[in-house]
Amino acid sequence: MKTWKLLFALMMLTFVAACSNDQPVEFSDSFETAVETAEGTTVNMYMWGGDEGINDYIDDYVAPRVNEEYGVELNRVAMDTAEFIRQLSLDQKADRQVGTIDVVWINGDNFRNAKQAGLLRGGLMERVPNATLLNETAQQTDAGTPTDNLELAWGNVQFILHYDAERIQNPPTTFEELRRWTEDNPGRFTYPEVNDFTGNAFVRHLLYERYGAQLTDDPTIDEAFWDDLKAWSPHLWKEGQTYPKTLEQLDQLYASGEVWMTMGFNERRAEAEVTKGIFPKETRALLLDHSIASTHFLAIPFNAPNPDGALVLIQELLSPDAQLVKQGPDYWGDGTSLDLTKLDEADRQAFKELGDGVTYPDTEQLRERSIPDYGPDVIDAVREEWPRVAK
Amino acid sequence: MIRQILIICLMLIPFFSLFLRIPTVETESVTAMANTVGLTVILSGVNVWLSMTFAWWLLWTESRWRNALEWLVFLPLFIPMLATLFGLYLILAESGLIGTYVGVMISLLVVTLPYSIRLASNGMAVIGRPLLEQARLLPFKRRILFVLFPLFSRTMRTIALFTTVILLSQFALIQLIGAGLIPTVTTELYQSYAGNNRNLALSNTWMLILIPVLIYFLLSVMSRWTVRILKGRLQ
Amino acid sequence: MLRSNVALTIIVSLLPLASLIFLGMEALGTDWGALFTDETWRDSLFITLYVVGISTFLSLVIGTWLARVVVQKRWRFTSAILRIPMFVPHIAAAYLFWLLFSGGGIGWVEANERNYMTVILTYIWKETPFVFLMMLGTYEQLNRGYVEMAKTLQLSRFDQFKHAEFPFLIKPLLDSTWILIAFVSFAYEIPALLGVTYPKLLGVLAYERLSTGLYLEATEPYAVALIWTCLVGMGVLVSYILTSSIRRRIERGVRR
Repeated sequence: MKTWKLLFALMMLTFVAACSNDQPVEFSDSFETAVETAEGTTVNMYMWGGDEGINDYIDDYVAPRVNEEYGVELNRVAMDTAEFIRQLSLDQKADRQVGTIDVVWINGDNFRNAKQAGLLRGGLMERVPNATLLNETAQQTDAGTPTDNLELAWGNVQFILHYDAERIQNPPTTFEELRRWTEDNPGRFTYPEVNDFTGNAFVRHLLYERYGAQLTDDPTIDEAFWDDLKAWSPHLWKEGQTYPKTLEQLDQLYASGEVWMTMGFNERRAEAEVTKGIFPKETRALLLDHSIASTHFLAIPFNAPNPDGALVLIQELLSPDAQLVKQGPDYWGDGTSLDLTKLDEADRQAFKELGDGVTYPDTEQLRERSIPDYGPDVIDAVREEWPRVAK
Repeated sequence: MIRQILIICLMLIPFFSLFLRIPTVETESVTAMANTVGLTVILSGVNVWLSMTFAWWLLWTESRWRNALEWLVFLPLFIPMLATLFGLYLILAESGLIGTYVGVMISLLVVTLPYSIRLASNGMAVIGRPLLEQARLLPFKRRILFVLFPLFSRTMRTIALFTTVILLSQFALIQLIGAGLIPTVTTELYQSYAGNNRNLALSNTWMLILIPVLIYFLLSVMSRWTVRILKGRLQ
Repeated sequence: MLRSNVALTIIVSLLPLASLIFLGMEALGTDWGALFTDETWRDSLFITLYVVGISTFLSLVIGTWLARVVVQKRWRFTSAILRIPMFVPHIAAAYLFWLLFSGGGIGWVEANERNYMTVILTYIWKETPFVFLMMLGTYEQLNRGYVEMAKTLQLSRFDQFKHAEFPFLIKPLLDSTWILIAFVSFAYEIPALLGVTYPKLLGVLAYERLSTGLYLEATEPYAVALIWTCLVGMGVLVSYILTSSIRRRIERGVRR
């Protein structure tokens, strides 16, 4: 009987000891002190890890730099965005004030959720010196949700389609033509489910085609729109019986030649895929009537164990050097979130000299056709009502 | 003979697509590999130890709680992982075990132990009390070493195998409870399935299949050796 | 030593039950009426029952048959091969089958089709070895005397099986059945990769509802998980109670 009691006592002890809650770790008063306290620490950066180019950019370029400059060890943790948001919300439920996540890569509805649940730290603009260089329009809202200083813009991209020019000689130029094209080429086009960030955005482009900007104020979508979409589905891949779950699945279908078009945010994303031989060699950009501009961000969770280290890392990620390499073709090709007019001449010139890849769209046209995103209400409405299309 | 060949072929067909690509061993993450092997060995050991002793206790106890306890350890098998996951996180977060090895071990134990106990008690029930009765006369250590271990080495190996495979299948659990800080081969490789590189995913599949096979054969050889040594000592 | 081990085991087993309480708490605010009339969940339930039913039944039959044949005929090599799918984690198995059956497929079996054939096939391939292993232990240690007696009594082959083997198989069969049902009905990886957009299997739908923005605060997935767990739990209880007398007789027969 003795061992029972002993064990029980031990259990109780661990629980009691653990229940005394820690105080959250606060930011230092200035960036200079943050740099001092951050030295010799480790920063855990949580981000989606499905792209090798992006991972290499962090591991091979950024990590050595923050280590050299600030003596900060960068630990990249690959995790889906929705998953670490859920982890944070569970932390909140369990009142875990000192957590594990220091910096997150976030945007769209995940940000909206995190913001609503109060999972992020505010006041980043004042704390990160390089934040003054940011493009102000990009920094303002995140897919329609005001950022409220809870996140800082990391990259700036636009929605675009890509097609295999070897298979498609005369690509469509508008969404209407795309529809007709699928009638002539049944099964060669599809888009991800609307639970996917990209799939949802594609449907929003179709919405913009019909409603223009008016949907922003009044997010009610007619039955007719969904009926039309349903009527279109038999011409899609697998006759619209099913849709790829994620953009990556669509990319795989495109890579294997099963479908002839793919899509996604980031107008430069196909370049590295083509060089690596994943996408078909003749992959070209396809810009239709309009293209949603989207920004992705960096944020610091409420229970970050090393907030000062997080500030230092973000400062580095927003530096012109790091942004230049990020936009270049070597790793990622992600558009900069900095306002080029705020940079000094040499940096600005360097960005201009990056040049164009073969899979890039025309920069002028892209800017002309750029449209702002609808708010999260429309994203939710699409999620809620689209399933009838797939039924 | 023909039947055998047919069965073997059917079982092996799915591997066909694997051979479209030769595996490239990704030595990128030594920690992930070390974590996986370490967790597998420790967890298998703990599972065998706890499940065998529990099954042994269940076999002989006269406690009136016997039935209730049997059900208690049995029921977790029927609770979906998804359902236990979040509750488990909250419990472990309260005790400050998120992102630690201990936390991950406990959560993995939760998902593996019910299987192990089932295997252990089924194994013992089949041999039955009469045969085991004599073993009870031996002192504890000798009883385990000379009777139980040789008698149940097969069951133990099965338990270890189950543990390994369950462990290697766990992605969400290790990722959530370990807060991403305890990478295993599975959590590392899983990302590639969500990526767009088919070749990478394929070579990772190779890894996921080869690792348990290796661990299993290692355990087999080890258990065979120990049994042989023990038998040698008895003669 | 023994006691503390038992205590530890009990504590570990209590953890998932404690999580069930959490589940119940989370499910509290659910609008049950709306849940039961929600077409998405209902269709998902039907397709889940279909997939679980077929794959569990076939895995059980094939696995048991294989165990029987392997023990009777001493197919040692086949027995070793049969274990191989067990080593393959579910996600890897899903990927293998996806490679095999995507893009055209073989006959009417194709990945991402509404008949869920590939999902069923993958489960059968993965779970048959599990059943095989569960039954193998029993068959290996089965008292051949009963079978010999049945033969001496010149029973038909079916009756031989029914009287001399089946009673001993009840326990491992029940175990495997419920383990498979519980696992398959709420698993994610295989149906996520090989399934279709609509209808989804319960596990996929629940996981998705939990991880996408719109439903972050939703209670339905918890409620569904809770109901399903209770249903399975009830099934387990009823089936074990119904067979308890015969199982006890068997155990006594073997033991004394």
